[in-house]
Amino acid sequence: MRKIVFLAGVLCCVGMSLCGLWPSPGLAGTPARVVIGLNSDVRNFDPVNTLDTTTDRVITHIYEYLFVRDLEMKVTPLLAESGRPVDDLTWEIKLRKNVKFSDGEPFNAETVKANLEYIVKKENNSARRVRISPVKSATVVDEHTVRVSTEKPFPTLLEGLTEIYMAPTKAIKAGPKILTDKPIGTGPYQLKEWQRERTITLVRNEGYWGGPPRIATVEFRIIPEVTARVSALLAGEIHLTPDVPPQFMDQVAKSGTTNIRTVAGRRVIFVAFNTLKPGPLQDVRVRQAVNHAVDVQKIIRTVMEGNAKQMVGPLSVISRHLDPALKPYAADPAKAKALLHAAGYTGEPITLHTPNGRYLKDKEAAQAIADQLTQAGFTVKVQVDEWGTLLDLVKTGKVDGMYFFGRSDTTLDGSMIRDWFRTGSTWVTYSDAKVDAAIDKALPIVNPEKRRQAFHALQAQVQEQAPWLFLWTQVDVYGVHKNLEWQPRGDEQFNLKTAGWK
Amino acid sequence: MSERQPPAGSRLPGPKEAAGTAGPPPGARRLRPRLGGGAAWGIAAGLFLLAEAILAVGAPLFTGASPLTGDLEQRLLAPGTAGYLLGTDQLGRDVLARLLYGARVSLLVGVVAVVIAGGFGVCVGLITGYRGGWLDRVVSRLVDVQLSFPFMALALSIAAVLGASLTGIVVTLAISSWVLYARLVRGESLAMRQQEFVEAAHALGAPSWRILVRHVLPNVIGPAIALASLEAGRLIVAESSLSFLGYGIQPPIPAWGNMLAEGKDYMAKAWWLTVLPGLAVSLTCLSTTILGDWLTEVFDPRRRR
Amino acid sequence: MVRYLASRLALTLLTVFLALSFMFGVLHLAGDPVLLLVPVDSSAEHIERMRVQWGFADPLWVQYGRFVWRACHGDFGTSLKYNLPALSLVLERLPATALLTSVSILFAVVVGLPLGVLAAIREGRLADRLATVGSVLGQSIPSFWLGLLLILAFSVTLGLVPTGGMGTPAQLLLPGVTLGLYSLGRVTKLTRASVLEVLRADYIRTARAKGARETTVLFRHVLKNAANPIVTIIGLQMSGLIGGAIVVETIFAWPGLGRLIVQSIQFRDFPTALAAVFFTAVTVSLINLFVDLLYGLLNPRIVHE
Repeated sequence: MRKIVFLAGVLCCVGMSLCGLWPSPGLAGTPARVVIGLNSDVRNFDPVNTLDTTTDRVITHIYEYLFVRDLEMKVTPLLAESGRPVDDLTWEIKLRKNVKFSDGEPFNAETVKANLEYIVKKENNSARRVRISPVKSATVVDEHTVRVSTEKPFPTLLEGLTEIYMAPTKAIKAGPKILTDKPIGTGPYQLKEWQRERTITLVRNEGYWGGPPRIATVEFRIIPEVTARVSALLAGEIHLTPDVPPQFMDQVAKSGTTNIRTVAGRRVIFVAFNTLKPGPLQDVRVRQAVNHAVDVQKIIRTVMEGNAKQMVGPLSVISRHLDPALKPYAADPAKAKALLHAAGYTGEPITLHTPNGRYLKDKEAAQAIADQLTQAGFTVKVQVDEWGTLLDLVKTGKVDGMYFFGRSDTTLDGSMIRDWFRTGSTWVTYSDAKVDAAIDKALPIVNPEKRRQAFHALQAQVQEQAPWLFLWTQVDVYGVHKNLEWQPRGDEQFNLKTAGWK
Repeated sequence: MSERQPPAGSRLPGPKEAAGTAGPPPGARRLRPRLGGGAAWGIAAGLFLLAEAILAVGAPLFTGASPLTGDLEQRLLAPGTAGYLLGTDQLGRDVLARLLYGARVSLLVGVVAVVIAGGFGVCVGLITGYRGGWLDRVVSRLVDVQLSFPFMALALSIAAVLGASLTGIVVTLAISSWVLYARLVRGESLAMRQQEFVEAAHALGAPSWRILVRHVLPNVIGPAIALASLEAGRLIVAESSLSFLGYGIQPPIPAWGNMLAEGKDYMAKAWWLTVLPGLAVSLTCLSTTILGDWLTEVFDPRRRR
Repeated sequence: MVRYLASRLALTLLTVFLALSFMFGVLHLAGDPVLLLVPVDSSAEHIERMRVQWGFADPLWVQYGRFVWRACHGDFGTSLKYNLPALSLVLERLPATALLTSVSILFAVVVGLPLGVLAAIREGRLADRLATVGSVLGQSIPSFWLGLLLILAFSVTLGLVPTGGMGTPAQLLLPGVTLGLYSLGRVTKLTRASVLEVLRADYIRTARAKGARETTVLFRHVLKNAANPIVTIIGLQMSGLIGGAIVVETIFAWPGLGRLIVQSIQFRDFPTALAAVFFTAVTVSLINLFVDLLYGLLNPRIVHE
């Protein structure tokens, strides 16, 4: 008998501690509230030391840039009023007046100077440095004018500044780490609460210089499993979610409460060849054969269910330097076979590495590609790698054969070709002296028309050299509540400043 | 291994024993064992597994389709359409073929991992139980350390190092599960060491290994096999869980686990891609569990005394 | 008693230390962590600087020594991914995991105990068969498959419960049931076996012969003796569930320790992974200790070695 009482007592204790552990309920529903489903949490709210898409998607509502891209991805001023080159190595930027941070600190030229100089200083290890690396220093001309000096000509400074947030001077001087979970920005929203891996709640900044936004509260919910996230959308628990996979699009489009909104994105997906290691891929004919052997349109139609746009050359389809006259490789297995024969390929196995879910349908696409290559006479072996393992292999150049990969066309300008193909850039497993020379000549050109022509020629040259199997630019698919007035953007930002309910 | 085991000879079931076995009590005046309850189910389960094995090994005989390549234009067909008995998957591959060839991999993983884990675990248990002393204490400590690691975390860490290959997964699963055999066998081995005839044989100069093999091993092999059967099912499910997280056997090699993982994205559109491999895993595990439970009863050490 | 406790605690410390060292070694074997933590567009220079900043450029033994020294002071470092103290990240997740684990165990016990007793009393009859089959099924179905099916059935199609997340009691329902099903199977099976065993024992027949009422017999003798293995299985399941709920947590977006462990291994977030393992090892060891003490309390006849 005693033992039963004892056991019952234990269970009671467990029960009582359960009550103590009970979490508090979430926000009650209000009309001016939007709930967004994300598949992973932000790293933190430090705008200077982090650089990843999910974090950016959230913190662009708290911090702002000097310049920002509009819906057509053109660079327009935001915290700045204008920016113009004074000479080859200097830019002058005029700033917006009467802007304050959420703690009252004024935004002015001092702020810009502090932020830029912190970021470009190597010892600070800022992840954002790579976006404005040629910048040397910034000088305060007057309270609302800054001059930025660069070490070499930097025609795309303004594009680079679309990725640099402005943090309060006080925080920069004290060390931006204090912003990690207590962000202070000039933006339309402020952080109310962050329950890691669960929710992020933002509230409207009533003193925002552009006037308070329509949506009063924004809640981000972390739901990693895609089925659960789509279910949440269909059930009305969330109102917006990015990255709806193709197989759910029908359901979301026809549900009656939600619809699908798409936009051509800036992510380029390809299969890169490692030409630094001896093997059949060092021969340009073999690489061109790969491009002819794969029917990219068919894969887009079937595996991607139409949610991709074929890449013609290396640039994203929304890049402003895309050459409309350039034609993609024709799907022609016979020609591929001929090229292989001419190159003397005798069936040595080539490995196709692919990550596992890092990119939409990467595994499936890789398997379909391998299939088509085999039919054209290649011997291909598919190998699925953990993302960390693959990154390691690519960085050290040890990856054997080819690998399914993706990059972001961040500047939407042909200069990404340098990041992706020039010898010496990180994550590049290709090297060609002639291409290097062409890149070096095109990059510093400041005149827009001459720049465009140079990049057109460069694209064609890269396409002919085929360092990649050119696949597609991803189309970003969003599932949205039908009454939410909101448009998706090519740079994956949510930009809820202008959103509202019907 | 820990102080949880009661001294040998005690008639109360130790907690770990009670947790693992379900045999009739020592004092029960039992009638002849019913063939209804335990044995019929156990034998049926065993036959089911045998049938699965035959289907798996003889896969090319039962289906002409290839599990590795498919027709992209024929993707996501429902079972029964256009000559595909169980439909096609997202790359147009025949699901029946993938299930059969996948059975090879999944069953192989389960069996090989169990054999390795069991072989190693039984040996360790035999030796440490028999020898006792510092060896026993050290190994017990290691076992406790491993047991305090959540299974999945351990499996993931090892998989991260070894990579997601067939060998890697088998080794991962084996490493994560050998302790159960060691613990099971150690108790028996320890108990046997204290038996009079063993002490006598030892005194007479019989080498330890012979005593172990001839006297101890036959007593432990039964429960070990029963445990192996239970474990096989559990490991097959574990493989599918690892695949779900992205660490299991990778495509294009078909295995039930990765078929489930790939199919889950299509659940609303193509239910057969999740339901069928899931059924295969569940039924297999069901059979091994029923078989294992029955074998446990059959080999219950208390019956034999 | 005090000596026993002290020695157990010392052993726990040793266990935890060994577990941490093992994890440290495995994580380092798994490859370069820096690449995963820096943006893909980083320059080689930036990567090298971060490597130095995070201490990965030092020789392994230096890193190990530093880790051990800091851990002894309770400092597990800063999470490489979140840039926040690793231990506080772990402690943050603890209530969620504890809640889910408790609810699952509660479900398993509240449903499993009566079911097991029922099956034992009605041994051989329909109720027994159903309960047995049910318990075996519960142990065979892969938890993530079940979870996905449940979401599809109850959340999407029927709209009865939310799909995931944490905050309202309703959100606890599906993950609790999914996770608890395996434990339910074990508890049912074990309860049935223990109750059966006691029911067949001599002293029960004596009590019955003396004319005691059936319910008295049941409650006073049967349950009291069946409590032992049940307590043990609860302990075992609890330690298994902490950190073993990874797949369920992922599907239901439950912000628990299991998911933290997986993510920190995937991202090679060393400090967080080590802090999480530390926590799990400590918790499991403490639960085991607690179960052993409880067992000893319920069974004064067992003398601890």
